[in-house]
Amino acid sequence: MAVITSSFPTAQRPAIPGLAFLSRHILTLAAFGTTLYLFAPIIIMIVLSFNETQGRFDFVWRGFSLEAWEHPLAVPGLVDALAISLPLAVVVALIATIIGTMTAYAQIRYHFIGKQLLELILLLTISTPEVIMGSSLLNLFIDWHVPMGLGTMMLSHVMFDIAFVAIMVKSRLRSFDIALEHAAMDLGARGWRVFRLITLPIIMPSVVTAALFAFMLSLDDFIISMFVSGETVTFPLFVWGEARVAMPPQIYVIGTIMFLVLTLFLIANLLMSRPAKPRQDAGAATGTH
Amino acid sequence: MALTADTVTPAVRTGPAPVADPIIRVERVGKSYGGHTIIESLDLDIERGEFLTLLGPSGCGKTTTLKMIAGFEMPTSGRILLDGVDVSGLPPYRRPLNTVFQQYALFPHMTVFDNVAFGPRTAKVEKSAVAKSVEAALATVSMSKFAGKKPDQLSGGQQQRVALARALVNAPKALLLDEPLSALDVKLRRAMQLELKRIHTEVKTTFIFVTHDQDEALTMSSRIAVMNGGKIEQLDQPETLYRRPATRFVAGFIGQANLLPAIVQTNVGGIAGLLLDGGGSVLAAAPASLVAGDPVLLVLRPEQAALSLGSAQGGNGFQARLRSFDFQGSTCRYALARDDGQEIIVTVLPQHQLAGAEPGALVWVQWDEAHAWVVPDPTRQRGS
Repeated sequence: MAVITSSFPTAQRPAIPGLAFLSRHILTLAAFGTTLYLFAPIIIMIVLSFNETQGRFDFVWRGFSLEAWEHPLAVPGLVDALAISLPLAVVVALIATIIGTMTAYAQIRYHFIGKQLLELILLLTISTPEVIMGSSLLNLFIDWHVPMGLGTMMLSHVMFDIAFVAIMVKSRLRSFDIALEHAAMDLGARGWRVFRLITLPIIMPSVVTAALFAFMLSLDDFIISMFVSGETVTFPLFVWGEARVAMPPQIYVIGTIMFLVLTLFLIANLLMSRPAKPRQDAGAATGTH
Repeated sequence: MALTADTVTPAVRTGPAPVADPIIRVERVGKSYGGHTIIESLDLDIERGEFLTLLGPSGCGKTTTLKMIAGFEMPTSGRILLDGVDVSGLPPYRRPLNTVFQQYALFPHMTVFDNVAFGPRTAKVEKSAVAKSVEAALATVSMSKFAGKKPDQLSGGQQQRVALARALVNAPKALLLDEPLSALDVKLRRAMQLELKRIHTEVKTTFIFVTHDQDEALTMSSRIAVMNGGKIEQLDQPETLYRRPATRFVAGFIGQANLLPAIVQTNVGGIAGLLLDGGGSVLAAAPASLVAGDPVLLVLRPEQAALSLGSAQGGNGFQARLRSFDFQGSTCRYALARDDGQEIIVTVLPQHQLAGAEPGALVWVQWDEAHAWVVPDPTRQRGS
């Protein structure tokens, strides 16, 4: 009977240097490539913010300049558009976060009639094509004789933001240990006190992320705003208007600033929500006498 | 078929005997979740200051019972009296009771001090008084040095202590503990058992403890309620449960036991004469309720029998053959079998080891009749 030795054909295969390298690093390369793909528009945006523009056509690189960074608001109408979009996004994010968080909490904690229906409506809000949502909102506002402008935009933005916030906060609440709420109740706290002192502080990082998301969605919204903005020009509508003629590099500057601020927020939120340090369970009760 | 008294009047108390002026009275409490009954009708009186353990396998209703006392679950029927007041419908925050949760449930975003202060602050206790009582509670559990730490900086045992302090600081009428030691490793659990006992003696509050660990229950409790299938099988002091189990379940659940089927021949003066199923007449202590002809189980604890080599040697016992032998340090464990195949485990101290015993050898198993016990065998009908 034959003695069984290692049956793996080790090092038998003729080595092709390039192929070996590829097979070993294919995952790394794929990850690198995907990251590059995702970042390409952002990189282009940042690069173009340093473009030296000539005349009106400046979709091409003409040379390095700090001109746009030195005078980031030197485009007529830009400041007005930002003065509308930024406060609008803040207010919308605030309202949507409050309503969305309450919706999420209700959906996770309570049983009520129409719970499934609510879930469906939230999903529909997200999955309905924006063009359709925008045109039907336009119809609604016209039918009800609601004057178009900031008010209608706020209503519309809050509406689609609620669904996003609710879904994000809900996923956090699902993993929330209900025993913590029970403990607070056990110690004499009622519903609101439990929520304010225990639940909300613990899920806060997710709520903040949801709020940032809601802020960005509102700031960025183009399609629905197009239908319901009336005479009001938000930042995306302004960019659209400009882009049809020429793109001043200042818009890339604003875009870059927004990107940086948001990134900082996300990093800060991530750092704050990280657990203090891994605890060591061995050795335990010790040293307390 | 005639209805028994129980089905005609389910309102009759069925459980353990009531005590005078209990701190908590569970009265004919039932609980079912959508058609599925967990507890049919439970009666339980908890004495002031005692350390009562609800012991049973998972799904026996012990945790549900505790949750109903705490107010996290509402009974489907019956009522719960706390210090004479019906609290059945009250939410947890209206009950002067506190719970130590299985995974401690410390608030992760608060320091140890703030965790413990949560109860007093919620009760709007004055600020200086809060600090004082929190410090006292932390001192009781030897955690004063950790007041400024966050829960995730503490070990499991330390978190356990904080959870205890957080509950005790409110001076509850009873402290409810839901398997609080199950997350700790064996060594630490042992230490915390003694610590809990010390704290119980110190604070003199009623402790209601839930566990599935019979060793833990025996170590700590003043009384144990053994639960099975939503019922209390027996409520007694640990020693009584061990020496005089009321049912087959209790005999098997508390400690090790050899259970040998037999029929009662006589029962006089607390000692019953039994005819073992595989043959052989033996004696064992028995409750007076058993009469001749009753099918029973002889409860023979492994450490209560003595072994000697050879066949029948007189005295109270039977003959068996040696199957195997394990030396276990502090004890020696013998596996034996009777001629009808019935297996018996006997443990003896090393100094009483059987010298030169080989598997297959005839062994005489003997015991003092007062140390063995008899329980009814629910699986067999009375044959007379």
